[in-house]
Amino acid sequence: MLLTLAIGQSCSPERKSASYYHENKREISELKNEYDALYRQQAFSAGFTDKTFKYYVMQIITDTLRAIYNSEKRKDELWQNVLRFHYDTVALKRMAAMMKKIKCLWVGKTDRYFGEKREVFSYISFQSADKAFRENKYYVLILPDHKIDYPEMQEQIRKGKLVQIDSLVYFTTTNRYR
Amino acid sequence: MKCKELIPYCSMLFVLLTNKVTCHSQTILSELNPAQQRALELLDRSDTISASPLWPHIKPVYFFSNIRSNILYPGKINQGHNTNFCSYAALTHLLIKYEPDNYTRMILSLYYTGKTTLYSKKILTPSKRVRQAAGLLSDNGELNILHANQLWFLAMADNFKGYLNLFDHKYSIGDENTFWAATNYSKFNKMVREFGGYHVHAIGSDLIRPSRSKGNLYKYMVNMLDTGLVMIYINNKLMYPHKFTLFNLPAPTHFVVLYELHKINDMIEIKYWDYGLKTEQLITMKRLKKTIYGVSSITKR
Repeated sequence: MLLTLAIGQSCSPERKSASYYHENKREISELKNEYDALYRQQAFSAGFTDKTFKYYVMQIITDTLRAIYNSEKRKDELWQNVLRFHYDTVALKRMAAMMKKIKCLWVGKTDRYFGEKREVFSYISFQSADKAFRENKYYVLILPDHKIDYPEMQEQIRKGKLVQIDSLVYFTTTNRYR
Repeated sequence: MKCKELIPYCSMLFVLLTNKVTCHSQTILSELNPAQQRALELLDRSDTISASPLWPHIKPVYFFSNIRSNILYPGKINQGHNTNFCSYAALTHLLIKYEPDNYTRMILSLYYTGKTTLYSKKILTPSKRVRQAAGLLSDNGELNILHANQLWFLAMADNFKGYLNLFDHKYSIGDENTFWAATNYSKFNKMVREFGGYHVHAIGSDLIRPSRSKGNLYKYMVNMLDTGLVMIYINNKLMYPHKFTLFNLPAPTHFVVLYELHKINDMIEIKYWDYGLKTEQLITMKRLKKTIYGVSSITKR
């Protein structure tokens, strides 16, 4: 997934992503902490499906099932499951408000294997760079929990597929926002 | 969870880690279906230590534990990140679920002899390029360490060719994510027939969606689910509707195994398998019709 996120990376949005991160640094950090705490309760990813940030999707992941609930079509069931999995609803609402405030489209986790070692990263995607007759592009911030110092990662940075914009923040572009 | 409830899970983990049948695992074995038991017996009779000179980069420890895990958990098969292996993964998921012994026989034969005979009598002979590459795939998520799946998917992609593979016939590193590994609808149906000898009834194509009205397509799929196994050929991006893009290419992109389809008011609840999990979601009838390019039903052998 990390490499998928890196596909389609281009040079120009670097400044945009860096300024987005620095402008929203505190909120992004709080969002990550909030998300990580909720994720520990039950794995999930979530985000919005429209530009006005009215409708949201929650994808709850169990050992065998990926259940997708859309507030536009399945709001009651979404909340039933939020309660069923004992999520902290206050924290969840706070997280959604934070996402809306910084116009974050999606928050989720992805993994990558470095040799035999699996590393899991949180990521957020934001602001579609969509233009007519151009491939859809989204900006993604990858937020590892600790310093990642594998040669493969350094190679990605050297090639410009990943851009490090803070000690634990990397940027890339992708054609998928979730 | 109480300790007593944990015992079966611990035993299962022990079987996976030790890679052999033990007294503890006898309990588990008795809970498996006869085909799974035959598959594990085949595995236990094999030399799981020596590396195969035909597949120089396949590590036996990864290879055999991957096969064992596939036999026990066919739902966990995963095509990996950044690959065009969805068609091979969907077919393998069903093959292992219903014929784990056949799958084990074929993959062990590939490993030891470099070839295997399918149900249709077609002989699968992976090229040297593919044999050299298996075990070396990287940037593909968990697939990096699932050496049996690497071998199997690469062998399938190498031996079945359709018009999408016309200009990229020979494998090179990284081709798992290119047209080399792509599958068109007719190739997919051919693979289903050749691997399991199944009778496949298919509607749809690579360009034009099945010519049935929305309601009829739903009824058709429900009927097919009642009589057998169903795989669908879909535009995956349309399964996750959002309003951030202006244009989605109207073309199929993904193969999944369909498990359930229910009407809930004016919506359809669909449950399908891909990427090692079942996905459950609600979509409109209109979107269902727009998303589906092919429905392949296996009714009998």
